[in-house]
Amino acid sequence: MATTTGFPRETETGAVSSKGGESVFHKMRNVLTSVHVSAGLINHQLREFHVEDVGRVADMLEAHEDHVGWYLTEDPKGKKIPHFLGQFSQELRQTHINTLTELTTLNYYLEQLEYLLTAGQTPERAGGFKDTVHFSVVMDEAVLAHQGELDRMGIEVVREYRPIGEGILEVSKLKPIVVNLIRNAINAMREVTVRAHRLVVHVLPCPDRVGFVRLQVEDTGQGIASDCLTRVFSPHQLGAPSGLLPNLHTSALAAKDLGGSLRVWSDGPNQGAIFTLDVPVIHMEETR
Amino acid sequence: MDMEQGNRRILVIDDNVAIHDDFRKILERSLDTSLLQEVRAELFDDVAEQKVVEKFEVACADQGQMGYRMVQEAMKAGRPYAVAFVDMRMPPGWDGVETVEHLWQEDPELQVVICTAFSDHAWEDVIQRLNKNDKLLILRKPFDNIEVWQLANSLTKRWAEGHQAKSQLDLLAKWAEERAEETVKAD
Repeated sequence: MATTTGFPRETETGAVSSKGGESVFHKMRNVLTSVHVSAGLINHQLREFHVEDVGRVADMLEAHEDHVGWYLTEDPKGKKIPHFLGQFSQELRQTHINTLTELTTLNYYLEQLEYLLTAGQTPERAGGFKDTVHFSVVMDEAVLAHQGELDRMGIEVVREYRPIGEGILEVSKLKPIVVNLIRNAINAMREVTVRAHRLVVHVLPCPDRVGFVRLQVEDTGQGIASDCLTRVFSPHQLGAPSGLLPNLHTSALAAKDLGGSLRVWSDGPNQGAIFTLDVPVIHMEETR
Repeated sequence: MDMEQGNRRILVIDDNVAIHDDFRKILERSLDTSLLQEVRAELFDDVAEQKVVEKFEVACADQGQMGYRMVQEAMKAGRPYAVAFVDMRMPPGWDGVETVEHLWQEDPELQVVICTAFSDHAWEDVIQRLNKNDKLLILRKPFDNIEVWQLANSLTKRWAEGHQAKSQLDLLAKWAEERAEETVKAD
């Protein structure tokens, strides 16, 4: 029996998709379920409760208003009214408490939804999503994750790091993009076996955008024809060269999520390619 | 034991504990209004006495593994669950499919409802993998109270029917075996 299912699992899809965003969505659906349940219960409780009984008792008393005393003590129906009212008030009390409890719960759920909405839309406002990022470390780790393959294929790795220090960013979104770019570069180089390959990774302050950091992954692989450059990030990559991972689409989306961009350049087929990821960065000092 | 009529035991397996409360609210709610109903019926001529709604016994687990253990223990105690509501995604443990596979290993009679918050899954894949689709239903979140109640109600009945049929089959098989033995002896 196959051990994998058609279901994307959190750990498997986590590669590039915005895991944080997804679980926020998941949480919101769960809270919505609870909202449904609470609202349904309130509805049920109020509908089950026979409010009209009060009016009916009033009518009965009114019909016997000139001998109410006798009616309540002697009449076979009237005699039951005091006992009924006692039971009725008990149930009214219980329903009242239950409904209030449910409404309080409902309020709590709505607050949660509001919080999740805020967290989902603007991660930087919700605490806990962001972390300190050392960009060169992120790049190093991504390269290291593929070291075995790089060695096997005899690919030379060149690191071009300019000092930029650290910044604050959603690191869980950044890492998968970089890992993906390295994997993509290796795949592109695997397609070309006639020459020795080189992987150049750059980390530098973005030259044309203040407050941004640029991470680049440059390979000497199969390259991309100019008319395919725009299709590299499309979800289906129709006509794109083989060896590119479908994940590039998700990577581009993740980059956008971070407030940055992911672009590609290639001088043409067989000329290698360079992927450029620009992301905005808040430096430690600025947050103080 | 009147288990054929009376097994109202429900197991909820969901990593979100808030959902446990939802199921409990829906399936265990029973405001005891019998006293008032009695008095109402006496006082107002047109009020029929309300039928008593049987409530369910709900147990909850927050991971597939825990649910599996609970089913094991229930089987050992001779108090099996009739229906399990299983969430599709329960990180970090087993997912819904894996959980259901384990549950059925232990208790093949268990009726299962898979709950999911995602609409983009190919159900054929799951059902194919579980390969027993007459005991598997799917419930989309967010669900309505009445959906859950109805599912629990009709599936406990279906469980009882299945259970009864199986008992009769077992009885029949035993009887046939005895007859066969008798025939052999007679020869």
